[in-house]
Amino acid sequence: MALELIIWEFINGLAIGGIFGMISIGLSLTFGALRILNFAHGLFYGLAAYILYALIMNGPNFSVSALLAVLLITIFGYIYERVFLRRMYGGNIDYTLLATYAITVTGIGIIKFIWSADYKQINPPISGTVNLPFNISIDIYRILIILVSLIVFILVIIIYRYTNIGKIIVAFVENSEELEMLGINPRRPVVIVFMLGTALASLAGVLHAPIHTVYPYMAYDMILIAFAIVVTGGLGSFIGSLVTSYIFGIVYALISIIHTSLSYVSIFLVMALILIIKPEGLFGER
Amino acid sequence: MNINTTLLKVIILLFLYILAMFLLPSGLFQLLIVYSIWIIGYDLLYGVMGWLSFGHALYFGIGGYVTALFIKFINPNPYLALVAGVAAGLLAGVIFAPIFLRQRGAYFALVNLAFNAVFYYLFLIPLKSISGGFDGYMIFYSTTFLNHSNPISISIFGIIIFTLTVMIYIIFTESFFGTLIRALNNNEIRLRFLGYNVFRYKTLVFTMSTGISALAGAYLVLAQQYINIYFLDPNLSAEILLANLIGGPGNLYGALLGATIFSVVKLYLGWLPVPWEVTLGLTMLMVISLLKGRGIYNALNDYYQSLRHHKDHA
Repeated sequence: MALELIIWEFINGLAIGGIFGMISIGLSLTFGALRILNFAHGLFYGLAAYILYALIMNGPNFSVSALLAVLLITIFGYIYERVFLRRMYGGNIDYTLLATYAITVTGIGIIKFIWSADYKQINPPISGTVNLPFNISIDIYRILIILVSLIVFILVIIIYRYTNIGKIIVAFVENSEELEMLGINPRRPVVIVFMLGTALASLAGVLHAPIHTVYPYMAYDMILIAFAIVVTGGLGSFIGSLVTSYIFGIVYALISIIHTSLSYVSIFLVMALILIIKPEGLFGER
Repeated sequence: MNINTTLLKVIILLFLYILAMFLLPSGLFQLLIVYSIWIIGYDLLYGVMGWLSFGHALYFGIGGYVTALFIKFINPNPYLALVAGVAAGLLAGVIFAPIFLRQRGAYFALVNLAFNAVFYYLFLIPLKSISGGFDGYMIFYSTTFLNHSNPISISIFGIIIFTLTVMIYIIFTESFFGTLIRALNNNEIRLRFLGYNVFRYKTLVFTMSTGISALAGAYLVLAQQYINIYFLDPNLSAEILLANLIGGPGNLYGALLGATIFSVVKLYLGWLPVPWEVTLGLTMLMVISLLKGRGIYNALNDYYQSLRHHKDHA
């Protein structure tokens, strides 16, 4: 009955929150480390879903295609950083936003050109369900997403807090000149952080595709959600982004009980509410 | 700038627009008027005050839809409907200002885009009966001076509201208020330090901008007698921004040059066999990298100034 539906959507919300988290972490890391708001971050997510679709249509099974798609997009992200984004470091944030926005619009146009504008469907690789108390049966694939995203978040936190790369990045954000004075070239860690963000976005795209439809504007829609998460969580706050991702994921899933098309809208209404009460975001400092 | 030269420039400008009315096909001319009005509203916010917005199609669409719905359900008088559309745009500005203007720079741009997307989806699916979705619907208003079977009357009406908008822009930017807004663009903290209530000025400019954008949308509805969901399309927001970047932000003539170039480009490049997004995106990249956000008008102006400077020293 109604309660079961609510619990089911709550668990679904945890899965969606995991997806949101994987995307917004990349956006938040890029912004924190490079002071760049990379609008094209959503494009990595969308492209990954399309490459997964193209690969599956041509033979390989889901997990192989997913790995390939993540790998391809990460390489694409590397090229993107080398050729395009590195010209933007230290520039005006408005122009970086404009340029990455232009890239995204072009990318969506190319996706439309290659795969046409209609919706694509990808079947989940695992079709079984798990029976929970209260007569709730949730599919294994969603549980898998929840677990994978949790593992990813723990790994990212470990990398960020306890490795050299994480320490260099923190130092780079706080004072890049002093870091260079110490003889550390921050470029390589920065590239690694960027590629990590790209890999997470494409992983999110690949994982999300089977429980969502694949369409050209998914890149656009998702970057707006990710941006809403980063702003609502508080700029530069890693934990804030994660908590907000789960809040938004659960809101997104629960509202879809009323009407599926309202769930996307509800996220921005929650964002507006939170920003009216706390303009600096949930975990932001001012 | 002294009042006489300003007046002279405006008269020349209007003369050019009236000339265009006779030379261009009426469809293209009305598109030009729509973009010209809209870009003035956009430029107040982006060019003069320096606040980038990615979501101005929201206010354009609000103006359009309120006008269309007013004609359909309340009163078929086109002038009242136009006023209602503009009022809705102003109201949207007043409501959104306290939420949006707290965010700075890039975040302001994206909050606008987010709400544009929200309204787009809201109108596309749950409110489809009101918006008409992709198919849209026709609107029939009562015939006054504005006659939907007579394109010249619509063009003349366009010129009238365009003149009003230009006057508002000039009064805004040439007065002490305009100086304050440009100062706000340069150094907000210093202005606040001088004791000005900065938030009030920002709200005023933002509201003017949304109101003028709504006027452009409302006029397009009257000109086409038709509305569909494309009025709220987030791609439109990118278009007006691109038009402003091409011409030159922060300057009336630059902005209008951008509107002119863009409406011609849109009409003719729309025929290319690549998706419109690709054309839009690549042109945007080119404009950003070539003109560095200064626009054609400002670039030419810089060049002219450097020539004159050179001559003075020779």
